[in-house]
Amino acid sequence: MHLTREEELALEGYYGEALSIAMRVVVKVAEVSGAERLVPIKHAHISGISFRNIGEEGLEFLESLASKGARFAVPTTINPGAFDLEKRAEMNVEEDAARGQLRILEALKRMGAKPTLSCTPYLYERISFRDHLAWSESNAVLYANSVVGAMTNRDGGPLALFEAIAGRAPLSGLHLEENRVPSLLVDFSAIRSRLLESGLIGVAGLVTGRIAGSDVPLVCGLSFGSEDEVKLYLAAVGATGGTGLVLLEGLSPDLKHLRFSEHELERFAVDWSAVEAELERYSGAGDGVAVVGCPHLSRRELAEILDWVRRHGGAKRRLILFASRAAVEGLELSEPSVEVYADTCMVVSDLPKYAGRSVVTDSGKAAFYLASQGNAVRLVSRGELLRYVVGERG
Amino acid sequence: MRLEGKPVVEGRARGELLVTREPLTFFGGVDPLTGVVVEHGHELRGHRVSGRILVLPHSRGSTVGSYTLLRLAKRGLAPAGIVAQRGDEVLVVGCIIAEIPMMLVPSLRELCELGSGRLAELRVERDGAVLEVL
Repeated sequence: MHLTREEELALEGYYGEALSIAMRVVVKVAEVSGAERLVPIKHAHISGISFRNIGEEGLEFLESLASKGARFAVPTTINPGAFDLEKRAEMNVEEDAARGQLRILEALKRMGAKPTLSCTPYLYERISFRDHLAWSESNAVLYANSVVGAMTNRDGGPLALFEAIAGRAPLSGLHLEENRVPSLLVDFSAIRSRLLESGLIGVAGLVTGRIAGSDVPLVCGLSFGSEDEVKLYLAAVGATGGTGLVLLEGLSPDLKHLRFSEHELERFAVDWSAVEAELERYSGAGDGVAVVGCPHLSRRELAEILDWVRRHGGAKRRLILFASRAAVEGLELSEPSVEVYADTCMVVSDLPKYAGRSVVTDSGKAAFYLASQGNAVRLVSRGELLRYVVGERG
Repeated sequence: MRLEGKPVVEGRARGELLVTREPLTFFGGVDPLTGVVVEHGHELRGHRVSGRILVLPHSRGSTVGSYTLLRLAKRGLAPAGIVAQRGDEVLVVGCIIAEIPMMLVPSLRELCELGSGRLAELRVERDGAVLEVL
């Protein structure tokens, strides 16, 4: 593999131990993936920063990297953590867990991270077509590649951390134009209007992910009401599928550049039974707590939901919304019957501690992960969820 | 028996072979506090990876699995070495930060026929790697 003189020096430890470790990881992953060289990145986004998952040892490792002088070479944002920094008591977070999470945050800040604690960096960070990124967090990767036309692999949290320090990623996978060409066609045309009427765009995402697996699909026949629906859809794709790029007809900038012949693609026509099969998986719990915000709600969504609930007489059942700190701080209205949490989400926090084990959500991704964590989950459209919340208790 | 492979993480290790044909999930599938495989339905369930030379096709599941290898290593419970068929991200990053010697082999056939239990030595150097079954 070809390394520049600068990269070799970094690898050999000329710029310190921390950069040398980071470069070693990036170079090894590059070698094993068959990359010819590394590519400089513009931005990094790191997931897997929850104390619950990486433990005392992971925390100490991050602290030792920071002490050895590790610094992020590019603007770097971080995924949600285990709790809302301002509402620890409401979330019943234990003292030790809280202290561990805050130390992780401190170590990441010392290395230069922006403490965004959000899974939607694409709403706030400046990224453009053909920027190379090192992003972990599947919904963010899918959005950056599919909607912006930036280039990032679906990196793991630890790799993205080292790529951020090295300022480089292996030039492989979705960093290369040739790997962004679709290998199958997923066609929703037959159920386009029914999907639109039902508002089950997240379910369409689960279906897409199951069909595509780790291959890049071309998707046609879907209508999106807003960018917010696109992110809900893509997040669900990332839960059931391993792909980091979905080529959306009429939306993905890559489609203007890539050359391929559509009629040669293997075609999967989706009918309503595929949607029903997904809904069937998440049909538990009639009266759970409503959780919304996977991915994190945008400012606009947050305002829309609170406004809608207020106009309908307030929430009669418990509704918890999750959004980035930036979205919450920009909020001008409040609705006392609704709980809003920032810095965290329903998947990475200890949800049973503050909301029980029975939930209703509009997010295909949240449904997938919360069910796998042993919760009773009902997946519905956002419209149905909101009507459920303001309806009289049954 | 002597098997040559591709070096991934340099180092030397000696231990009993623990061989599986099935991919292993580290995060959620191996208990970071005991080193015991807890993955449901896995053929190694109940076995301890600690001090063994773990032979597997590749890992699967969350990339937090790299931190699981690190957690095991800090507690002295990590595998002594890893021999894999595919160098996926969880294994490569995990073995580097946990300092576990690792090599890649093109096929696991011979090792699967041999099975677990034999003592082996793994030597991974910059230019070459070898697993010697003693």
